[in-house]
Amino acid sequence: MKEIDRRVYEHPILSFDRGRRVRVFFEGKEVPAFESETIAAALYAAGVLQFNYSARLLRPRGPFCMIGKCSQCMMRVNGVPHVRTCITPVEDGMVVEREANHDMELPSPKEGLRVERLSLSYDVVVVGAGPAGLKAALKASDAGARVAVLDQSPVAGGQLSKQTHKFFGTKESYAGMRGVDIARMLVSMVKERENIDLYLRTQVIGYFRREGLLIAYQAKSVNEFGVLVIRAKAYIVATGAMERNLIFSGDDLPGVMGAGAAQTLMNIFGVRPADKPLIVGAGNVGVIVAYQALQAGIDVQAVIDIAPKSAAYLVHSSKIRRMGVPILMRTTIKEAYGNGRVEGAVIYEVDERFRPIPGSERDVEVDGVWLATGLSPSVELLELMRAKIKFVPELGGYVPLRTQYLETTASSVFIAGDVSSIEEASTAMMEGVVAGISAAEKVGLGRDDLRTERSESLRWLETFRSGPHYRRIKEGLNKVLIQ
Amino acid sequence: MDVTDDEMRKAFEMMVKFLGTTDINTYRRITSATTGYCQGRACLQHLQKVLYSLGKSVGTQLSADELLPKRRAPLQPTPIGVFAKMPKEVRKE
Repeated sequence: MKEIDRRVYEHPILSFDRGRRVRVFFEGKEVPAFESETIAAALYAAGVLQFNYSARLLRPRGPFCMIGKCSQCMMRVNGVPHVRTCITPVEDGMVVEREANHDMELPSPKEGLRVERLSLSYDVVVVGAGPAGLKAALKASDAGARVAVLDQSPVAGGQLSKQTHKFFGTKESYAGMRGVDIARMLVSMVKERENIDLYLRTQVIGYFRREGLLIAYQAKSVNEFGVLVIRAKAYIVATGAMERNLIFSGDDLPGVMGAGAAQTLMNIFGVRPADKPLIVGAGNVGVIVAYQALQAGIDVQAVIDIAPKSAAYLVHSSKIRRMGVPILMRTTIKEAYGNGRVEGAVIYEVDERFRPIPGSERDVEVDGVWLATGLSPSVELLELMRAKIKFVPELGGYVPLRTQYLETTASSVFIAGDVSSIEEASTAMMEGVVAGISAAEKVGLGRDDLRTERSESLRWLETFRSGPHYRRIKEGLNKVLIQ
Repeated sequence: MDVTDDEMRKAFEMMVKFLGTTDINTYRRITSATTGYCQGRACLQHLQKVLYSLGKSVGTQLSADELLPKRRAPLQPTPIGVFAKMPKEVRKE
């Protein structure tokens, strides 16, 4: 049998330095892997799409989000059950097995579990090392604060690390630079700072209000963890967002994934998630991911959207149209089907009241369905911190109330980025500046030059959001602003 | 968890009939929806839609605040050994 290798070796913009080759074993066979890859990326590269079975109905399942949020990538690794393979790097000799999610089989680790506890204290703790979190950390550090940045991914940079397009805006928002380069720059700046500690592969599991403790654990391998017991004077929650899924028949088939998940595979690991995908959602995310897929040598079949008019910037949508990818409006998905993985999909058209048009059903031959149907802010931690949350559809769903300096109703808890409202990387970074300076001020490290910078950033945000694309978001922001 | 549309509907009917409530946290306990490994990150929005429309069918208009479930630690799947190393003051909760 021919060995499947879905890695991208030629790319117009990205180069993939995969590092040393290591051995990973799946179902008794060696799967080629490289040290910079996660287990999920290596399996996908080898054509493995099904990672586990669902809990009760034993339906085949595979990763949906690829950023450690959806838990559909869990597998048994070296005998340890429920390891999130999308955020766990490969190690030489790893044995990976499919499991039934929620199975009751006890762990059978090759080696024992090792856990050590670390008690830490900081001025400012930032949760999330994406554009907002990194910027916030840098600003708090400018003010002289001792800062920790926590992120569950093994790679810092958040969603910025997978943006291959050049940013718009002004020089303050790094216009003209590609997201991936901005991410690299911010991460190296953070690493250079002596007063910032960056904790990767670190998941926050709770905040205990009465004791004032944030508890997280850092994975060193699948059976070795450090428990971080953290006290901080201020927190900045920059936890980003989770891609929304859509309900249709076969929506849990391996191969159905978030568009951002496809981006992670293509642009961080250089792995083709599919050869002929269908993209659902023709907003900015949908069309940008379609363009990036073309760059990775993937033959995108179509981008469909139930709305009558695409919400994407014209530059992005015309680019993929020119390259021959049809954008079908008033069209949506009825089902995805296949034996253990996506082998086809049925799409149909709707009328102006979103009712299916009889006879418009079409069978399309696709091997992946990528959903770009919106994002929901990840506010779980803020809820534990008792920040007041409000449902504001304009901002993406449930979001925290905040002052203009981005402090929530929970004292000394600040927010920045998609967790505050679903916008873009440039606004996330600017909010990071505001939150970082404000958090430092809160812990007694206020400085006039930084306060001036904060005012400038707030003005920048105001100007950026004054465009017609931002009318809805501005309306939403008015609903959550508190004194 | 795997909960089918049909089961969601039946569980709701039972809950209203025997417990006389449309409370989302009770509904989660009965159906186990949003209590899997991702803790509702993927399915909560769908659960909310289902509960909202089922609520309406029995004449209850659930507000957005009422549809926000109670969140508890741990927020992420956590190896049991990690709990063993929790500081004392947190362990007693």
